[in-house]
Amino acid sequence: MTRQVEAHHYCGHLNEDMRQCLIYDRPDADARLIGLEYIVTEELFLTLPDTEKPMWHSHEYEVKSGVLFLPGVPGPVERKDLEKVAKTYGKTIHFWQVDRGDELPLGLPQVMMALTRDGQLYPSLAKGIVSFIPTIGVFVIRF
Amino acid sequence: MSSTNEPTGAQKNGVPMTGKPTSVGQQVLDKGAQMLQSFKPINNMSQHACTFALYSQDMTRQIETHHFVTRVNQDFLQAAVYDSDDSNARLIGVEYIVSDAIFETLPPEEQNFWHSHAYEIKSGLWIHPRMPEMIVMPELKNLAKTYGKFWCTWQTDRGDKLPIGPPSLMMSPQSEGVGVVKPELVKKRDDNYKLSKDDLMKSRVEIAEPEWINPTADYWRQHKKCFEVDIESTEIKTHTDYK
Repeated sequence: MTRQVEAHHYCGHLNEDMRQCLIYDRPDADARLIGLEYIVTEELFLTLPDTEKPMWHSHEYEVKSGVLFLPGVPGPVERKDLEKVAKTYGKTIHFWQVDRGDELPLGLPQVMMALTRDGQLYPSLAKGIVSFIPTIGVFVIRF
Repeated sequence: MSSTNEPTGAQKNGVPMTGKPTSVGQQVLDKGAQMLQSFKPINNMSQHACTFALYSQDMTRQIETHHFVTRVNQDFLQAAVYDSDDSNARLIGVEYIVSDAIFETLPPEEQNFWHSHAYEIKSGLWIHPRMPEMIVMPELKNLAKTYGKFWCTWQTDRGDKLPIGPPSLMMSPQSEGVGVVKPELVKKRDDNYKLSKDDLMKSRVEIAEPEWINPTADYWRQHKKCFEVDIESTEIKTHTDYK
């Protein structure tokens, strides 16, 4: 099953190496808060226990393929920030499956994986994932 | 309590902070974006509430929480939950809040994940910092009849420097048993905001008790055990284990 989700991230820097983001289904005032994402540099990612690493995904492909972008930000400025994002890793958790028509946040949270290669998934991570949802991230940066 | 701008090695609530302080270059980038971009969902957050929550897999682990709440409509609210109210606060989870009318439409297996709010509100544990009680009273009367579903994604209380592990389901404070919040936690919070939970409890006597709190919520009260969300090592999937 492949469902596509458009995700609007509203992010803040905890420090130079880490961001935390709220994820909404639309960029509107009445958007639904559907999940969150933590984003860390590779340096921090490598400090995670090996059992934890599979829950994180790299952003390299999403940035390079252009599916991840900063709405409204001029090209050169956007490029500078995305250069950093390309080298980061994210842990994305969704609580509300709006794409399957859920009117309320039902069930268990889902750990989201990102696109990593054209049309492919990391084989070892794809096996047995209860619901895999390739995420198209619309990245918004704040404070 | 307030955050500082110390370099790496700084502590926050006793937990060392990972990562370097935000550089000037990054701050400039961020300010630029802030001027150009639109933040409608964020700007729609209208309330800051401070309360307590308990880990369902171990209710002796209790945390002070800071909810930044958006009221979506008369029956539904959504909150981003942080571990403090500083600008450096860590995002530790999300809570959804529904009216009793909506709660009754949920299937029982789903109701099990939710907790009631009546005790937390009436006892003075749930506060709106710096807001006069009179102004928040209508909101409190509404919230007293609601149910919440709170997933915690970063266990800062056990010293995690990064968000590790599967999300935890959180429970609400209750009046007896393992649901009672530790007095020292409450005192620390009350001292910080210069108020008293007991005084608030007296002023909230006028808040009506819900006629009925659905026993399918607050799972641990009926079943004397609760949920742990787990991840299996061979496959990435999440499921609940009944402890």
